[in-house]
Amino acid sequence: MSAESIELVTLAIQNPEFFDTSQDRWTELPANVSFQYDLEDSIRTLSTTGAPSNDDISGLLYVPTLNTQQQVACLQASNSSWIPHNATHRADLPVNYELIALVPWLNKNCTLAFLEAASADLLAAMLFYIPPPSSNVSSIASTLNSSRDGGGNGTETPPLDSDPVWDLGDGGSWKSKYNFPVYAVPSSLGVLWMQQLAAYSGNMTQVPEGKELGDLGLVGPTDYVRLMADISTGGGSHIPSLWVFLLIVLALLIVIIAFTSGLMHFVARQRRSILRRRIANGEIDLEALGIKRLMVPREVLDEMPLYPYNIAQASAPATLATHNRSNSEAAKTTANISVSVLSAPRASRQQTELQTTCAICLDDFTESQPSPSMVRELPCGHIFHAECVDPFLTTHSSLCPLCKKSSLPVGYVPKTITNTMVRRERQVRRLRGRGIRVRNGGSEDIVRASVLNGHGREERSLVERVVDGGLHVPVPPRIRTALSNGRRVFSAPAGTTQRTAVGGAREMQEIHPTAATAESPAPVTGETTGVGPAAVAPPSQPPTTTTEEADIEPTEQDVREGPSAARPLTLEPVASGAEPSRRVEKTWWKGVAGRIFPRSG
Amino acid sequence: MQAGSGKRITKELGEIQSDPPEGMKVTLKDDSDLHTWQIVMDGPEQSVYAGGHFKLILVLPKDYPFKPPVVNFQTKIYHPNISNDGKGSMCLGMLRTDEWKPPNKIVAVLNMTRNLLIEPNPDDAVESSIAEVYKNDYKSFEKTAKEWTKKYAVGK
Repeated sequence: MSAESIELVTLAIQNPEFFDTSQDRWTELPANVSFQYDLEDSIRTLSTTGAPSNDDISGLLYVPTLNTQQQVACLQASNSSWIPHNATHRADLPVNYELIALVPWLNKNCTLAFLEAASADLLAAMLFYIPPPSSNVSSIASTLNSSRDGGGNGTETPPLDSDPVWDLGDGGSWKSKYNFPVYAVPSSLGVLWMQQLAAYSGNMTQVPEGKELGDLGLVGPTDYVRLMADISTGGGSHIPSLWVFLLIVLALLIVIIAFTSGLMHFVARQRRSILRRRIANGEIDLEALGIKRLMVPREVLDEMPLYPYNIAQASAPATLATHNRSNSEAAKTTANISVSVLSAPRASRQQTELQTTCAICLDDFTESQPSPSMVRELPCGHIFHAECVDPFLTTHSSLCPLCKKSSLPVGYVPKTITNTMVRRERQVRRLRGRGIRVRNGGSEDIVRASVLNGHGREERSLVERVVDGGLHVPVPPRIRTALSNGRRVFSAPAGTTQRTAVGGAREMQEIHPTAATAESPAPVTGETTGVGPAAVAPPSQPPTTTTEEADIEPTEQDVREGPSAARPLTLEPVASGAEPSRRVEKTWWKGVAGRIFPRSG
Repeated sequence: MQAGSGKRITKELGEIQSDPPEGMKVTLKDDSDLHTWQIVMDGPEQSVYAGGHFKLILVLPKDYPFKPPVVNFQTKIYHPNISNDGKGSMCLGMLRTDEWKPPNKIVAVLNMTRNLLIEPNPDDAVESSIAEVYKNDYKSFEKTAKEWTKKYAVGK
C-alpha cells in the first residue's frame, strides 16, 4: 500500500532489562520537549512488497549496520558523512520492536548493501532519501529545525518510482526481492531525520532535553528515548471507499438497466397493443403481409359452412359470363364503398357450385346420395373437401389455398402478438413507404406502358425501369431485390412467379378445360398471347383507366395478368391514400391466385 | 393427412405417366416410395441444353401438397438458377414455401423447370457468376453450357 503520511514521534521506552515486560513499556513524549514531525504528502512509494493491506506501519527508526565488506563497497563511492557515527543503530534499540530503516540513497552499491543489511533485521519498512547536492548538512538541518512540525512545508517530493534515479540495474526486481515496503521521503527531511536519529541514540544524559524529561518524570534514567515512525498507508480507509464506489456504480448500473428495460417493455407493450388494435380494425392482414403465419382455430373453422356437395343449383357455363359481369359490377359497388370482399354477403354461393374439384386432393366432389362429399366453404367462396382443407387451415395457413385470401374473420386477432410481429410489421410498413416514394417519383407513362404491354418479360424490364432506371430515385438494393423477387412483403412482380403463374394456369387449362374462363369476361387468350389487362378489359373499361375504378376492376382482371400489371395500378391509391394497404395486398393476391387457378366453372 | 397425400400423389403420378409432359420421363426412384420421383428431362430443342438428358430428383415432403416439393438436378448443368455444388438445387419462385400453394401440381413444377431451361432467369440466380456471364457475354455462356451438356448430359 502506498504511504499517505509519515508521523515521527519520540518515545520513551522502558529498558526491558530492568522492568517487568508484562506492562506498558513505552510512552509518547510531548512535542514541546521532544522531536515530532508530520509529513502529510511528498512521499513516494517505491515498493509495496510485504506491506500490510489495511494497517499502518510503525516501528522504531534506525540505520542498518553494514558489515565491513558492505561498508567497503558502499564507501568507495561516497563518504559516510551522510550517516553520523552516532546515528541510532540496531544495537542502540531494545529488542523485540518493529523497525523502520532510514537510509540515504547514496549510490547503487550502498543502496544494495543497505537493503541487504536491512533484510537481515526483519524490518517493517524502509525509508530512503536522496541526499541533497550540498553537503552543508547542518545548514539545511537548521533551516528545517526552525520549521519543525511544518507538515512538509518547503519539501520536494522525491522522483517518481519509475524515475531512473531508483534504478539499481536489475530492472526494478529489487522492489519485489526484499519483503518490506520501501518509501522515499524528501531529501531535506531525510537529512533532518537522520540528524535527529543521531541525537536520540544515546542514554538519558545524551538525548536532547534529557534533563527536562527526567525532571518532568516522564523518563527514567535507564529508559531508551528513541524516534518512532508511523507510516499511514491509507489502506484502512482507502479500500472501503473503493468498495463503496464500486457498489454505487453497480447500483447505478442496475438502476439504469432496470429503467431501460422497463421502458423498453413499456414501449414494446404499447406497440403490441397498437398493432393489436390495428389488426382488430382490419387495417393489417398479418398473414397476407407475410408477418406471421396464422392458423385457423377450431372454433373459427367450425363456424365456416360445412355441407354436402350439391351441384343442383349450379349455373350452366353458358350463363357464366353474364352472371359474372353483374357479379363484378356488384363487386365494384361494394368495393367502392370500401367494404372488403370478405364481409360481402355470401352471394358467392352460386360460384361454389361451379367448383367441381377439390384443389387439394384433385378429386372431384361427388353428390351421389349415400355419401356426398362434405365440403367446407371458406369466406372467399372456395370449397374444398372438409377433410382436405381442415388440416391445412388448422396446421398450415389461414389463407385460402386457391386465392390466398384470409379465411379468418376481419379483425381476427391472434392470441399473442409478439414483438417479432411488431418489428416485422414496422419493417413492412417502412419498405412499403419507400416503395411508394419510388412509385410516386415515377412517370405515369412508364407504368401505364408496362400495364398496357402486358407481356411477362417486357413487363418485368419495364417495372425495373420504373424502379431504378427511368427515375432519378436511387433505390436501395433491398427494395430492388424485393421488387424483382416478388416477395410477398412488397407485393411486387417476379420473373419466376410470372412463369410459375403462366405454367400453372396453362396446366390447369389442360386438366380442367372448364377452367378456361373465370369470372372475368375477358378473353382467355389474354394470358397466352400476352395482351395486357387493359386490352382484355371489357370495352366499358378504357384501357388507360388508372383510377379507383381500375384499382377494383383488376381484382378480376388480374386473374389473367398477375402481379406485375396489377401492382402499378393498385399502388395508385396507396400513393395518395392513407392506409389502403389491405386492399392493395388483397388485390394482389387475388390476382396471382386467380391467374394460376382461374375459378373453375 | 398421410392417406390423402398418398392418394393425390398416386393420382398425379398416374396422370403424369399416362400423359407425360414434353420431353420428360417420370418414374419412381423406388417403387415402394411414392415421395421420391426420378425424372429424366431432355434438354429443350430451342435451348442451349438441347441433346442432353438431365436427371432430376423430385422429393415430395410428407405433408405434400401443403409443402412444396424439392427439385434437384442430379446431372451437372451450367445454368444460373441451378446450383453447381453437387446438390443441383434449383431456384424456382413457385417452390418457395411462402409462395407454394396446395393446388399447384407437379406437372406445373416440371413445366416450370423446363421453361427455366429454355429461358434462365439471371435476376434471381443461385449461381451469380453464371448469371453474370449469361447477362454480359451470352456467346460464352452458350458455349460453356453446350460443352457441359455434351460432357455430362449426353449418352447417359
